[in-house]
Amino acid sequence: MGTALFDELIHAPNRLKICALLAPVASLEFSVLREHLDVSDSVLSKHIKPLEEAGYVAINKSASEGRVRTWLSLSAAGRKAFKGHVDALKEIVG
Amino acid sequence: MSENNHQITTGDASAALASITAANEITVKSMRPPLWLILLCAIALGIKTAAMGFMINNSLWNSIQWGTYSVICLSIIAWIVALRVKGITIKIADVNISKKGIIAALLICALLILSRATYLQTGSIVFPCIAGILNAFILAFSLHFGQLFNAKYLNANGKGGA
Repeated sequence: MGTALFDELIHAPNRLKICALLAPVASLEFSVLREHLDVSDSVLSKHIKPLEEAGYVAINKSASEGRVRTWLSLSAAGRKAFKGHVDALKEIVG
Repeated sequence: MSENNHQITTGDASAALASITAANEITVKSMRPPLWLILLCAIALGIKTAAMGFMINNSLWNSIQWGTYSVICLSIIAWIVALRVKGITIKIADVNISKKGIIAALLICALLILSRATYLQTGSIVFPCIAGILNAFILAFSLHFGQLFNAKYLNANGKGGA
């Protein structure tokens, strides 16, 4: 199974979903993530902040067509931590 | 912040894995190309498949074959651009082709090869036409309904691909 490592930070329901939504892609726009999670901007920001501080999520802003777009992506550390957490969950389930 | 903590129940872990799978599927569904692009690609592949047979010693069909190939390549680029406009960027290295995707790709390749081989052997236009229709159908069906790819290691239920 590799390096199974339960991660309390990732395990919180919304943060778990954030990581799962980001994992299949290079990056997702903030508004897309908010729509998929069906939460407000402030709730999403509140959950992303600890992930960013832990180095799991990277935030990039880019200007496009006159507006600023915020892109979120799982870092290499974030992908590794998420994989470890998924493996740990699978071990618990058996 | 990371620690080994197995003080959650099996039920909680199952629920978490189900949540991961559901979220994963939402993103993958969001990446599905629009219907018109799927149809365009499917028709182009169908024509390309038939043209693979007919293009022998025929510069017109050869041109058609390359033209449809260009349409397919441009469609892929258009899809990537459309995803970006939608707020999604993809990274091929992080994506696994699922078992369904591999099967679809192998079928398409086989029909491409058979189209040419049967025309060479028999001179009959029937099989290239049938192969073209089949390939168009396989691609359209796979892109619209099939889960052809998933993120690396993210098949939370433990099964390989969709």
